[in-house]
This record gives sequence, C-alpha cells and structure tokens, in this order.
Amino acid sequence: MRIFLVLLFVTATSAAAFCAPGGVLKGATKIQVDPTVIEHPEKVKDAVYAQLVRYDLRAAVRDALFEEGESPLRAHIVLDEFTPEGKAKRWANFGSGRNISTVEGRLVIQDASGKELASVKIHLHGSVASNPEDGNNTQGRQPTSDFERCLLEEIERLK
Amino acid sequence: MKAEGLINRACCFASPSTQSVPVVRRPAPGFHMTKRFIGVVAWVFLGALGLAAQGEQIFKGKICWVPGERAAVLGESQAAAQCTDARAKRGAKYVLSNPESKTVYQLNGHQKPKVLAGNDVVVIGTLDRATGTIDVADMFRALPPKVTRAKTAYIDCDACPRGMAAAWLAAFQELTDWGRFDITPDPRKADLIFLFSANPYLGDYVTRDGPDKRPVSVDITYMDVVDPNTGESFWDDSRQWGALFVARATKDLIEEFREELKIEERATVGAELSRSRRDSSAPLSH
Repeated sequence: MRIFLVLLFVTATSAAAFCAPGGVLKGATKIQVDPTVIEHPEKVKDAVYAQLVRYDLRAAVRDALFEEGESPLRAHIVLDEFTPEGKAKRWANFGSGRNISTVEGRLVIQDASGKELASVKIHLHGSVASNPEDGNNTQGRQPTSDFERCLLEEIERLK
Repeated sequence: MKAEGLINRACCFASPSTQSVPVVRRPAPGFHMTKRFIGVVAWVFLGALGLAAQGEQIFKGKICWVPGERAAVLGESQAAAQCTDARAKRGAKYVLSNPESKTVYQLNGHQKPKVLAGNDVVVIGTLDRATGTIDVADMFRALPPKVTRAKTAYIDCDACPRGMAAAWLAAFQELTDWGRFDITPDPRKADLIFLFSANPYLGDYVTRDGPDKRPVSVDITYMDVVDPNTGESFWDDSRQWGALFVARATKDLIEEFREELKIEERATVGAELSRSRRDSSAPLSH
C-alpha cells in the first residue's frame, strides 16, 4: 500500500512538473514572444544564449502555424542553465557541423494579466543553433535545431 | 585599409558645396583614470598621424569616365554624359560624378574605378582642390536605401556542411551584439537576408528550388546581403581563411559590412545637411 502511495505521488508530481494543461493554446492564432528570463545568471554565461533560445521559440511558434506579434497570449523561456559544448568536445566533433549544448529551463505561457497558464519543463542536450543538415532550402524553412523541434512538440501539445 | 581605421585618423574640413562629410574623431567611452596617461600618449601619437592624413573625407557619387585628353577640363555635363556608357576607351580617366551636388572629381591612386564603373560608390580620400583630384584611400560600392532602412534580418547558411556550420551561430552572435537588426526566423518577414556559403552566390536565392547542390569545399567563407524579394545581392565579400576559421571569417565579414554601412550613413547625413544648408540660404520666393 505504501509503495503504491509513493508511486502515485511520484507520478503526480512528475506529471505536474513535466506536463502542462493541454488546450491552453486552443483557438489562439497569435502569440507574443517575450524576452527570455534568466533565473541563474551564473549558469548562463553569455547573454547571446538568451537571445538564441528566444529565436528558437519564435521559430517554433511560427512552425506551429501561429502568428507572432502583439497578443494577450504570451510565451517566454525561463532559462535555468545553458552550457555550450566544451572546446575539447567541439574539436572532437569537428566536421560534424553540430553545436551541442545542454539547456535546462521552462516554457511559460501567460495571459495578458501575467497569470501563468502553463509551464513546461525543458531539458535538452542537443543543437540550439541552426543545424545545416536540415536546412538549406531557400524556399521553405524547416525546424533547424533540436531545441526548436523540442519547443515545437511542446507547443503542439498545448494546442 | 580598413575604413574604420581611416575614420579614426582622419580629420577634415568639408565645404558645404561638396557631397562629402567631415570625419569626426570620437573619444572612447568609459575612459578610466589608470588608462589616462596611456591615452594622452596615444592621442599625441595619433594626432601626429592625423596631421599626416589631414583632409581625408568621404565622398559619394557615381564612377564615370572621360577621355584622357579631356580629363583636365571637366564639365559636369561632360562627365554625366559618359556615365551611361560603362565601357571606358583606352586612356580614359575615371571620375567621381555627383549631379546632385554638381561636383566632378578625378580619381587618383586606386585600381578599383574600372571594376566599379557605372556604379554608385563611396570614396574615402584626400581632395586636392587645385586640381579637383581625390587621392583615393578606399572605395566601395554604395549601399542602396533598402539596406540603410532595413530593420529585420534573416540569417541563412546555404551550402554549410561540416566546419562551415559555425557560420550561422557566429553570424547570430555578431548581429545580436551589433543590435541593429531584429533577427527574425521568418525569411518572408525579413528586410535583408544575410547569406553565408562556402560557394559563391549565383543570385538565385528567390528562384532556386531546393538546396545548393554544388560540391562544397570549406575553404572560402562567402557573405552576401540579399534582397529577399528579388534575390539581388546588395553587398558581398569573402574570406579565404580555411575551414578552421569560419566563425572568425564570418564575424570579420559582418564587421566590414557594419563599417561600410556606418560610413555610408555618415555620407548620407552629411549630404542631407549640406543640402538643407543650401536650401535655407536660398532666397524665399513669394
């Protein structure tokens, strides 16, 4: 019985932490992408990473067929940690063309009053910048980084 | 020679009748006490250099040519007439013609005029008023107003496999640091496309269907600033720095574009100032 209760608690907490109520974005057509919030500046060494994850969020919003612009429905990333690949590893990966990073954070959806409608935990070890293996088509843009793809999946889940 | 370097050491006095802009030396912000002594020494040294380069100005106009024997006697109508024909005859001399400011200058000491014939250009150089000749230090193709007015940009790395992939992130970092453009993920919403490639651009950004299929050897980093509507390249340059220095080459190319844009804007502002000065000094008609 105790084991069952523990298991139930773990399932409930993990569901609360990693999932978000679906349908938050149902019926929405436009989303405003706000600047990234950095909660632990010591874990995000360069301000450009905040811009980079915001760029990916804007791209994911676009990929999910939402219009990006002024809207009461707002989205932003809370960046807890951004660790780019070390120099030695980059040298080892030289030639692959991939920039691998570890990203910890949350995708937050808010309404006009700032009330949090959804918060989705994001953990990624992959590319955050454009991945040339997937792109290069000037006529139509596909998701070009692992982080963008991850955000797109989460946004689709919130629809 | 880098244009930025020229600006820093240049010191000039432009007359309102020319379409040139005085280049002003600006002190660096955040000058600390500890660095003041070094700063004073550097200022004296650079001041001496500045004297040597005294009179360097920025000029805007079109590269035209006049027949060699007539080069000494220049009339604005003569030069303007030749601007329509880009093919220069043997012995022809290149001139910088600006019909708006009604100035025609001969050009001296630079090889580029032939390449840029018929184009609008920005020239940095020293003007000898007695002979009407500009001793050219640097010259580049003028950027169209579409570039100077642009607010949003899209970064595209075309034909970017292997080491070339570093170009996208380096461009993103450099353009974010610059802060002039909103980097949009939607190419259709962009005013400009910053296109990076290991292959030279063929002007087919709008018309090509699918990725660049040419074989890629990552040696030269090409950058083109492209019009998303027409595919026309407004600005282009390259660095042959090899596969190991793609990121550095990318940043250097953006830096060069940034400097040229800055000079272009100074020249434009200067031209507008001299035009408004001329307009305000003209008698009012009733």
